[in-house]
Amino acid sequence: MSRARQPPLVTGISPNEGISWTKVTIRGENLGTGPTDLIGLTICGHNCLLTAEWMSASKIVCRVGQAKNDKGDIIVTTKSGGKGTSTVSFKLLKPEKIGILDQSAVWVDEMNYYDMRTDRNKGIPPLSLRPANPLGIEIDKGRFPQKDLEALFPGMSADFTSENFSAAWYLIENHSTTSFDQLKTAVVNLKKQANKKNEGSLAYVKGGLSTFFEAQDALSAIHQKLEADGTEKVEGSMTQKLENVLNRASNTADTLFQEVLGRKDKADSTRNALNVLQRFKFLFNLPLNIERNIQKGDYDVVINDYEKAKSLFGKTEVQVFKKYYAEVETRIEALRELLLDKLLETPSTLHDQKRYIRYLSDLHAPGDPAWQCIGAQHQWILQLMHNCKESYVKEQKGNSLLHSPMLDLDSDVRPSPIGHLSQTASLKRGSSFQSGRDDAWRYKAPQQVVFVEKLTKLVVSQLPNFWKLWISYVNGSLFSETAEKSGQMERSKKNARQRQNDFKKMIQEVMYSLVKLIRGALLPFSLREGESRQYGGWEMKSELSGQWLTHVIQTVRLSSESLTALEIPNDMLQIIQDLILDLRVRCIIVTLQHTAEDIKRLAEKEDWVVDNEGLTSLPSQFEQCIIHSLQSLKTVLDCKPGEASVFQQQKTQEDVCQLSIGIMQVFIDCLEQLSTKPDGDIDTAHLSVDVSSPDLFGSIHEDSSLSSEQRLLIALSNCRYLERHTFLNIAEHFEKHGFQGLEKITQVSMESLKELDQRLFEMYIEFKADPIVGSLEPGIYAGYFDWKDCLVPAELYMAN
Amino acid sequence: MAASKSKNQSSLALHKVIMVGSGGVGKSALTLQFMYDEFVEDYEPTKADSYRKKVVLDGEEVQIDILDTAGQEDYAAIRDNYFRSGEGFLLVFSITEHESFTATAEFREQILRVKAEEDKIPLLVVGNKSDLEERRQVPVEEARSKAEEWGVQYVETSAKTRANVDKVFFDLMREIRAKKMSENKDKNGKKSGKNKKSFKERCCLL
Repeated sequence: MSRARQPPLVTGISPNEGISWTKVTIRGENLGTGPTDLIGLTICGHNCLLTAEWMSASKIVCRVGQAKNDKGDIIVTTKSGGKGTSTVSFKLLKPEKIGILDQSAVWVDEMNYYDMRTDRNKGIPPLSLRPANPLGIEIDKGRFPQKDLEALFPGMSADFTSENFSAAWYLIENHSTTSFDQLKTAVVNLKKQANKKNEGSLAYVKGGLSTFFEAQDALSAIHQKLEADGTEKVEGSMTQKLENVLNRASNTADTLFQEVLGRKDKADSTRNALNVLQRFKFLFNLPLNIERNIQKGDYDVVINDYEKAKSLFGKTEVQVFKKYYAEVETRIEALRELLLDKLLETPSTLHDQKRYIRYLSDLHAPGDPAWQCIGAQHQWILQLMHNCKESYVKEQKGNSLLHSPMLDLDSDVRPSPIGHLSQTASLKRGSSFQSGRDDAWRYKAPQQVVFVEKLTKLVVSQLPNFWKLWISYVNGSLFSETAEKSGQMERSKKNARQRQNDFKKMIQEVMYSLVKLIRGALLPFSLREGESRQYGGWEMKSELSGQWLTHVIQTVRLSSESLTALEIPNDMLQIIQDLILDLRVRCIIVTLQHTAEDIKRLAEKEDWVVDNEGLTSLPSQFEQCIIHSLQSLKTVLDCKPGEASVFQQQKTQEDVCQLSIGIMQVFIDCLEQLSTKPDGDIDTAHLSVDVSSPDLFGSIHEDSSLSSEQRLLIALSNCRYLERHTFLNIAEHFEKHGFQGLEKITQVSMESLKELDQRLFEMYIEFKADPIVGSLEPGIYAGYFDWKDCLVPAELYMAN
Repeated sequence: MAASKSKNQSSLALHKVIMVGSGGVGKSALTLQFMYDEFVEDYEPTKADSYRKKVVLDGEEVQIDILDTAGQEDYAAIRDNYFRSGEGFLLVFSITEHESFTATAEFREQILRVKAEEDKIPLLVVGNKSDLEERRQVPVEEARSKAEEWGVQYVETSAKTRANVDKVFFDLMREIRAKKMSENKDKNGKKSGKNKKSFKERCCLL
């Protein structure tokens, strides 16, 4: 280090004297650049660096140590300035001593306290320890010069401990003005003291304790010496006596201190006990604290305390601690059970579940609470689904028995957990879906539809929690991230891997029962015998209309989407896709069947009103009807992402094709039926309608009762129109909606139409030809005409 | 270097100054301000502090040794010893506390008693805390007239603002130096001085 800086210089000390461990403030110049720069500090030759506190370059505070020298410099040494000097000095005072039996309010360091026994150099005579005023009256120092007194009493002394003590000198010196009465009381005092001494009182021994110690030491040394010389055996020798005296002395000493030492021992043991209580207060209070915190629900605190107690007392050997620790363990065990119960309690939120699982893992609960929770959750979801179904089936039955009034109870009958769920649902389905619904809707909607809606809602709201729980379980985030859990984490991760398949099965089971329940409600025929009993049980009054089916498909689709959003593997959702496909097919078929029925009913609506193209409204109505039903199927036919086309399966394709053809056929049949019906039937049915609406076309009114001839003509015209326009339009629509097997439909329907056309035409021709033939026939046969002689007329039909 | 310095220091003239006055009047504050240019706000009663440093007095390098004593009555008994070693005294009181001013008379008597054998003792009456004018209890005139009565200088200081702090110490040192010089002269004048002393001793004995 460079010595560019000035060496330290101490110029001030406060205070400048004191006993050991006095706190002093040292002031000066260049006392260092910082606490670390200060490398040495001695006061009176004693190193005080340990207690030194560097305040600034001009101020250091420290405590004076146990220096040997009385007075000395304060030397500060710094790294930057080297060893310094001081202009002031400190004076070390001797501490006032406290007698071994004196009471003291402050702690006396016994290391520095020297035993009177060893303090031989001082050699205080026992008498000197007596009060300085033996007469017990006020001392009044006279003003007599020492020299005069010395001259008065040569060779004497005023010190009453010295052998040549002169009482007169003492009295002149100390009590020259004391009254006679006073002196008399002094005599009484003196006598009292003398008596005390004669009794050999304890006080006397106390007073001369150091002398007694000294004497005993000396005697025992002599004794040992003599023993070594082997002279102690002589009976009645001096050593015998000495030994007796020594023994008695030590006995006396023992009795003297027995009480004091006994009290000290007792105090020590009490203090120890108090210390133990204080130090381990935590453990002793723990059971009660645990109880309280459990009641308050502060499980975190309990766990913390428990961890602490475990690390502190888990392996204790002390009986008391063992007892308390056992108590703690039983409480914790109870807490574990409580937490497990709470965990398995349903319904519960994901947050709570995670919390309880974390607590349990922190408490080192046996087994795998997380997995237990997952299992319980699984069971609960299944239970909910079945309950849901049961309640709706019951309701449906109740409704069928009592009819309408029970419908009002619809919302009340619902099991309460489901109501709870709709609030806790974590995933919302499409809002359009929900908003478009009101109470009225519920009355109209068939029970199955409401049920499916409820069921999917249930699954969609519960499954996410379930799934998230599993995800947390797998990635280990269920357990507290803190400390020493690494082992446990590993363990749980291993568990998770092992249980992957189990969980998959659980999810599949949920999906499976969801699908089965929906199937039971909507597609009972797709279930096996045994299953339908479990999942079905619906009263099949009537098939659901295509419209409701569409609605259900929408519902199922939305829930499927929600589930997909959870990143549940697709293979688990496949079963739902299958269900959707089945539902769609079913829907299409049902719709087409309904359409066929509708078309069958079209015949009744024929009013035979002919427009300027010679057509009735029938073909356009037919077209409208088909377009309408196709439109309603639009959403069903459309493929959502991940869905297969409805027409993928050959069977479905054929079925649909057959149904379409059926529809055409029905219409064609309908036309035929209309055209060939006996007059009366239609007219009576029709007239009533016309009468009720007299402001229709007047022209039609007049010939409202059409002849079958006219009807045939109209039908033929309709046929032609169908062939030219309607069928083509319809084919186009079919194509637009992605129907397969169009050619076949068109071909078959065209063929049957042509057939009808042909039939109608022949019928008409026959109808027209009949009177002519009737008038011709007698003529022909009059001339004995024979068809055999006649040539087959050629091109006759065409020309006609 | 250190050795030569200490030699230097020991050879320098040393003036021993003692701070006297009631408790809390600012003796330590004055000392610390003079020694280290710092004003100590917190009050901690002094027992007895020593300070010594080199200063330049009228172009001459001298050492000043300051003994900062306890003002509290508890320490009254040990004052005699201190006073005996002092060469000059700063009799400090606080202008905001009249009692401390009246106490100065007692202190002065004690000094005179201890230093009875010396004819003129270098002493300055110091009215401290002059920055607290609004709390003044001792009028300047009263203090000044008292000082005149005693034949000493009266100076008002402020340990806080350092007003007149250097002045009181340096003025006192000058008085001490002047006294020492006159004593030296006396010594040089031999007989007269000795006679005087022996006479005094005899007086004392009688």
